[in-house]
Amino acid sequence: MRLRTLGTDWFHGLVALVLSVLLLAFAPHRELLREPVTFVAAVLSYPEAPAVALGSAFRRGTAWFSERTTLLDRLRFLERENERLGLATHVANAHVQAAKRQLDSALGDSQVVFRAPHAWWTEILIDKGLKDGVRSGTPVLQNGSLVGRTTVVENSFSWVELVTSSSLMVPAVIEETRDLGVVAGDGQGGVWLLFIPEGRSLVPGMTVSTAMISEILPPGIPIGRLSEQKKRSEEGFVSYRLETGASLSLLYSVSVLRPKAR
Amino acid sequence: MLSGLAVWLFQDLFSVLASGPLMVPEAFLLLMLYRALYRAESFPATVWSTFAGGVVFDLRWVGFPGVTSFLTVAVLLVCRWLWLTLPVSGRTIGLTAFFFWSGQTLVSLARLILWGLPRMDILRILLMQQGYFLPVIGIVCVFIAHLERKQDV
Repeated sequence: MRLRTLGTDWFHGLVALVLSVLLLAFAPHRELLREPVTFVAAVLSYPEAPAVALGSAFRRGTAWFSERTTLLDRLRFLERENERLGLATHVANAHVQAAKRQLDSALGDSQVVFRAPHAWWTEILIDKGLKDGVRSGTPVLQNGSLVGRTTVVENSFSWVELVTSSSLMVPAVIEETRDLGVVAGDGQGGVWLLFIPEGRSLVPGMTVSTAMISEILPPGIPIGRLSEQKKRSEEGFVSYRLETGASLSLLYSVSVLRPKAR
Repeated sequence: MLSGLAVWLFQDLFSVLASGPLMVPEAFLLLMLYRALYRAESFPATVWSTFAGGVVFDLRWVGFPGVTSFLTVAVLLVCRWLWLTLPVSGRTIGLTAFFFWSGQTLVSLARLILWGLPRMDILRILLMQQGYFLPVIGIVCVFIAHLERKQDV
């Protein structure tokens, strides 16, 4: 009797193991897993809502306490900048006010609900979708800098391809010199400005933004600054590593620039 | 089954609060191991609950469905096999604690490796995890001992 029971137990266990291995066979096909991952995130978003709120409140609180000095410095800097912007606003009042209102209504905050470890630098899932006005190709920002753009958009969720992904190529411009290049990730957390001809007098700290020639993203969205790290190719081009404005390793929440802003 | 669902949700909510499952004790695995060792009559249901819980956990946190379910079901089978090979007098709460600890550490280690962390970070996180895994296992084992003693009376 005991042996028979043990046999049944083993049977159930082994079938469960085999099913697990079969499921693992689907793992490399990320596109097949998108729907179930989104579904699970959608179902769990209801019981998780209080924990999400509590977690972000805790993070805000921790940041407030631990980075108080930094925040005060930043506040002073922002106050000065605000004064200058206020002055500039008065000078070019009509245009600036209209653009600010348009941008305010178009920026929507969104939480990152899923980031797979094997696609850490490639894509994230956010809790805004078609019903929030998000469309495929919508730019996603953090700290006012480009994080990526939406690829697959569902009713309540969207997948965002990150600038660190090696498959997202973004035409970009160096603001100070108007040099054009292409921003792409290396798939390992680095973001590079590619195809800059040798001999250009570029220095670290110069600002890189999305270019006017881009069909996928509106122009002028900040991406980051040139860092000191660069590499030369045999074809006579120089690639500059960027210090991104967005904190791409710590993405808890992002802003979605809805299409009506464009 | 309801207790399994509640503990799974508890672990999930803690993972949300901790911004990931790496530093959260495997409460669901502990419950399933307890059922596998002490509630022999419902072992098939325990296996399938563990499998389902693992798959959903992977879809929510890991992105590789099958990893957690494979590891947890394998831990369950090995622990149960070892448990049944022992005489009843050898099935002590200390051994239960050892099964809990080894199962939990194995699953955590696999998850850390899958996360692609450097070797030193894996070691550091594993040591940090032990700091609260061990007290959690201790508390759970005291509770189990109390529960089993009450049932024996």
